This record gives sequence, C-alpha cells and structure tokens, in this order.
Amino acid sequence: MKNYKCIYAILDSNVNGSDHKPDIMGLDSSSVYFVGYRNISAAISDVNRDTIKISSDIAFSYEKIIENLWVKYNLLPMRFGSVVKSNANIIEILKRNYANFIDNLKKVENKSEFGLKILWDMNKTDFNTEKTFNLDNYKKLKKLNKNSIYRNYLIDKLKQHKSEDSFMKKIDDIIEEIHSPLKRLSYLYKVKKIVTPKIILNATYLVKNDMKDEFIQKIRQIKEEKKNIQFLLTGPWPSYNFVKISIK
Amino acid sequence: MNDDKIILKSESIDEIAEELEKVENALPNRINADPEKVEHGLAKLVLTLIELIRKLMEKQAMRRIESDSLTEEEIERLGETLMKLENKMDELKEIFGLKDEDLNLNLGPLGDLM
Amino acid sequence: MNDVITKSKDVTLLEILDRILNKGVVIAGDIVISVADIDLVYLGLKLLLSSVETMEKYRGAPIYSPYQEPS
Repeated sequence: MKNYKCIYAILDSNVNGSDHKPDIMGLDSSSVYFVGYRNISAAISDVNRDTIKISSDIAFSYEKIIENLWVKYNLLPMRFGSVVKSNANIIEILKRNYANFIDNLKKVENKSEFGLKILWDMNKTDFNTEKTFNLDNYKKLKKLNKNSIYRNYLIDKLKQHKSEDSFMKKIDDIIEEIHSPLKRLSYLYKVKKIVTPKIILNATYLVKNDMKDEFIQKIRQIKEEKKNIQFLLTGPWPSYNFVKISIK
Repeated sequence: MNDDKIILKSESIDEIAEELEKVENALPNRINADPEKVEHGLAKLVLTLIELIRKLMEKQAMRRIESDSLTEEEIERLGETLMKLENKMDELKEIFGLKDEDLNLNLGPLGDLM
Repeated sequence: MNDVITKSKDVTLLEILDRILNKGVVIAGDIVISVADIDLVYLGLKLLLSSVETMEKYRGAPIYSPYQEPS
C-alpha cells in the first residue's frame, strides 16, 4: 500500500493543480505531483515505505526525478528519505519553514552547482630537503655528542618535519592558484582541504547559469597549465550543497 | 543521465575512488557485536588517538628546538623521550597487528597541525 | 572502452550518493516517519568511499532499509 509520500524537492512556485501535473514518474511507479502553499510547492509521489531504501538504481532514479523537475522549476533538492504520511504534513512543513524556503530558493535561483576534486601525487615530488637542511642552524643540537643516538634521531625528525612543512605550504599554494580564479567566477563556494598523500581538494561551487561556460572554461585552462595534477569536475547539479538546512 | 555529469576528468579517475577508500579507513567503524572485533576496533581507536597525540607532541618538540629555547641537556632528553615513545608505539602496533595506514587519520581542518 | 564507461558511472554514482544522502534539505521532527538518519548517513559515507570494484556489488540490488519495524 502506497500510503507514504516521498518529497523530492521544494519548488519556487505554486504549481498545484492538475494542469501543472508533470509527466514524471516517482520512485514507486506513481506519478509525481505537487502540493502547494502560497507561492511554493513540494514535489512528491506516493510510495510504499519499503521502496525508500538505497541502491544504485534507486540513487540514479531519485537524482533523475529531481533533475527532470529542475528543467522547469527553480528548486531545493530534498535529502533522500524525506517521507511523510499525509498531504497535511506537507502543507505543515511548507508553512512552518516558508521564510527559510523562500530565502534559499532566492539564493539558488538560476544557478548550478559544480563539484571539483583535485589530486596531486605528493609521493612523486621531491622537496630537496636533504640539501636544504643546514645543521648549522641548530647550534645546540649540533654540539651534542655525534655518537648520540638521540641527536641523530632528532636530526632525522627535523628533516622529516621540514619536508612535511614544505609539503603543506606547497599544497596551500596549489589550492590558492586553483581556487582563486574560480572563487571569482562563483556566487558561493565551499572548499575542503583533505590531506592524504594524494587527494588535496574537494570543492563545490555555486555558479550563476550565465557564468557556467566561463567557469568550465577556466577549469579547462587551469587543468592545461597544471599537468601534474588530476582533476575531476562534475555538474551541473541542483544546489544540494548550498541548501543544507534542517527544517521542522 | 549516467556519466554525463562528468564534465572534465584526468586519465585515471579511479585513483580518486582509491583515495577516498583510504580516507574511509580513518573513519570509525560501526560498533560490532562480535567481541573479538570489538576489541580490535577499540585497540585501533585507542592507538589512533595515542598516535595523534604523539605526533602532535613531536611537532611541538620540533618547534621548540627551532625556537632555540632549550638547553643542550633538554634537547638530548627530548630526543630520548621522543625516540622511546615512537619505539613504544611501534611495539603496540605490532602487538595489535596494526600498520601505519590503519592508524592514519584524516584530520580535515586539523590537518594543519600535522 | 567498457572499463572507462564503468568507472565513469561509478564515479557519477559516488557523486550522486554524496549529494542525496548527505546534503539537501533535511526534515527533522516527529512529522516525518522515523528514517534512521544516522544509518543513512553512515551507509552513505560507506558507499561513497567504496572502491570502484565493490560498487559492482551494490548495482541494482537493494541493500538496506532505513526503517525499523516497531517492536
């Protein structure tokens, strides 16, 4: 029995009513329809609760439903698993969070999200720390008995740490070089630096639709310039990363 | 819709999946009911934390040596302490059958401390 | 050639899962039937971080229901 409602997105217009019924199939083979409140709506479909479990097929389907809606409407995508019992519940949600939804819809209107992941293989880079390390800079350490295992241990450690410091600085430089121009082309951004021997950056950008081409072109250009760095650019996505709001 | 979300990619995108898998190893595992696994999981968590503290102490020690605020004796003692700590850590790792990669933490914003 | 397509699809899946499981608008409160958020997020992260090879396992097969039957 399909007695639950799965919410896919909050839309920027009241498209209640049969003449606005989209030709989109929901997750459980029931049509997507709208429930409105003032000038916003929720896009929902009737589902069996067992349908709402994650699998790769369902993930692709869920995303596709949202993207199909996105072709026509400005929207806020819902996290997977947003399920309620009745239309009344939905109206309640729209009512309680009306201002929040309106603000967020305005924020993401005519914009798309892009995800950029960057890898750089640090293991393939030599920092020349062996040569640049100068023991003369550490007079007291130098003075210790040359046979002391602790002295030598510390010297090795210092070299290692200096190498790591260069590494961190280099990463920051690269991130700055890549992120700076993109920052300027985007409306909002989130940047996360992840340090493992390879991956360095996980960034999301909210870009105005009329800047999309320029944005992508810029990344192509940067990728050309930085041949030893790997890029993964995905998009355009509905603004999942910029509507992370928890609502009542 | 399958792969038309990828606008740009370098040759080996599977490397990204591999890297993400490494980050996964740093995430705490679900609490498991199996007692043997619980012990192992706890050991890994505890040792990861100890390793974190040890590395932070090491970093701090390097900074103090750089700042030239220690006497020769203090430096020597510092070296002794750090070395013994690291050796102890290696022992513990061996006892629990854990490798460096197992204890690697993705610290996110704290990454700078390392 | 097939290999490249498979991996592209896997990467896209990872990207989709990250978004639909960890991002977007979240409803909290008693108006929603209890979805085990923590489990969903955990599962989301686990799937997100699976290697390309193990993604094969999840293809098409439902693996987890977030709902617990009331006892």
